[in-house]
Order: sequence, then structure tokens, then C-alpha cells
Amino acid sequence: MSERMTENDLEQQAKRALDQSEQQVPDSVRAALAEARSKALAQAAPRPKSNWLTPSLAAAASTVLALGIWFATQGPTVNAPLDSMELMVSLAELDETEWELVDDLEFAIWLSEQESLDQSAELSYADDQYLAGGRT
Amino acid sequence: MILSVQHLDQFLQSVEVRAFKMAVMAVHNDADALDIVQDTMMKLVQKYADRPEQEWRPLFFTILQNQITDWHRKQNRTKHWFTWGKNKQTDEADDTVEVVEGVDDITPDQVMEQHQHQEAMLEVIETLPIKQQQCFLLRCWEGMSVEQTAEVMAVSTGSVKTHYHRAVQKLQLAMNAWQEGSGHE
Repeated sequence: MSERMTENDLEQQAKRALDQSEQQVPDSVRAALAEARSKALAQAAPRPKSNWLTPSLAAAASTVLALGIWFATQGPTVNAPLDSMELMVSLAELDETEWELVDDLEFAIWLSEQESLDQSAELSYADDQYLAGGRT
Repeated sequence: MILSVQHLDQFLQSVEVRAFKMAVMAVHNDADALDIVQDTMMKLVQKYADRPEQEWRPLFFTILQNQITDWHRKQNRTKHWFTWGKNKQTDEADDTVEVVEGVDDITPDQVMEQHQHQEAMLEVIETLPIKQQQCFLLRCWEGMSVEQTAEVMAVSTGSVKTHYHRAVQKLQLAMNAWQEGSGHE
């Protein structure tokens, strides 16, 4: 090399030196880089669904469906049928005590239905007796 | 999505070793360099995986340069606390992160004794101020244009030209001195 290094020479030599150093990176570092790449790519891969969420969602959906059917079959005793979304929101906001109240309310409604059935049965029995007596 | 992940894998594989070398030259520490490359990969995947593939390369090197700059800022903050009250002189006014000594400190004898020509060249590159080093590596090694380098480094094209010119000047001086000192003339 008789002349001083020109800019172009310098760039070529620098590039060669850098390429050489890239090739000399040890396997341990390459393995670490591959591991880092896998970790990074794991974020891009679609995540598997969690196992615990499925039964919880199924239970919640069943409850909402059952309550929806129950409300719908109450007829005139229910003032206005709840929209399913409103019902879900309402149920989602209930705490443990409120759930107990819902159970109590359900029981009270059932009880009143039983009582009214009993009363109607008694009345029909009395009517039958009256009618039977009138005939005799 | 699966196709995108495969392409990302191929892309990252194609740049990871070079990125590691760039980081090592900037931070002089393998472990920190690995962390920097991993964080760069993470950020690219998290934020830009959905971007067109041709944008990945400039984005990757932008994130890498930012990670390196952040690393130097943290080092400088730490250094600042331990050198409280001492005046520091920087090589350039626009180099906010200046962590290495100038190449003037390297004598031809020291270089000749310790390294072959390529190793000496790498050592000089490693001693460049960080902005000059980033600029030189992106332009000379990655083959980026002035405009691309400016975009990646978030500086003006004028700054890129200045950084690059200074880097080349220092390399020329150091390598010419090395050649003279080692009798390669």
C-alpha cells in the first residue's frame, strides 16, 4: 500500500472488517439471539384460550338463559320483560348478598304462586261442594 | 398471522447478528448488547408486526439506535452522579451522548502491537463517538442512504453528512497512522 487510504478504500476495508466480525460471532451468542427472537415472536403468535374461563362463561351464560326464561314465563306478574343485555349487566353487578336476595325473591314468588294455587283449589272445592249441595 | 410470524422470524434472523455487533461496538458489553437486541425485537413485534415488511428494516434499526442511545443516557446519568462537579469536555456539541475517548489517544504502536489490520479498524470504529459510530455503521455497513440514515437516527440529513464525514476523517487518520507505524506503506 503505497498511497494513503482514500475514503472509498476505507469504506471497503471497514465493511470487510465488519462482515468478518459478524461471521466470528460465537455460537453461544447466536443461540442467545435465537432465544431472544423466539421470546419476541411468542408475542405475535395467537395465544391459546385459557382453560378456566370457558366453564365460568358457560355457567354465567346458563344462569342468564335460565333467568331470562324464568322472567319471560312469568307473564303479567312481571311488569316489563328485561332486555337480555340489561339482564346480563344487572346480573354482572350483583354481589353475594344481592344474589341471596334474588334467591329469596324467587322463593317468595314461588310461595305466593303455591298459595294462590292452593286458594284456587280450595275455592273450586268449595264451589264443587256448593254445587253438589244445591243439587241435592 | 402465521405467515406474518414466519416472515418476522426470517427478518429478525437476518438482522440479529449484525444488530448485536452494532450494539456491542456501542456499549462494549455482550450482555447489555443482547438485552438491547432482545428489547428491539420485542418492540418491533409488539408495535410494528402489522406494518408492511419493507418498513421492518428501517423500523428495526430506528428502535435499535434508540435503545443504544437510551443505554448511553442511563450510563451518563450514572456517571454524572459519580463525577459530580467535574467538568467534561465533549467531542462535539451536537453529540448528547459521548462516552468514548477520541481516536487521537490510540497510537500506531498500540494498535500494531495488539491487532491485525481488520481488528485495528474495528477498534477505531468502536472508539468513535456514538453518533458518528451509528451513522458510519448505518451508511457503510447497512448501506443506507443519507435520507434513510437521517430517518433512522431522527436527525437532519446535514447532521448525517457531518457525522459521517467526521467518522471517516478519524478512521482515515487512525488507519493511516497505523499503516505508517506498522510499516505497511
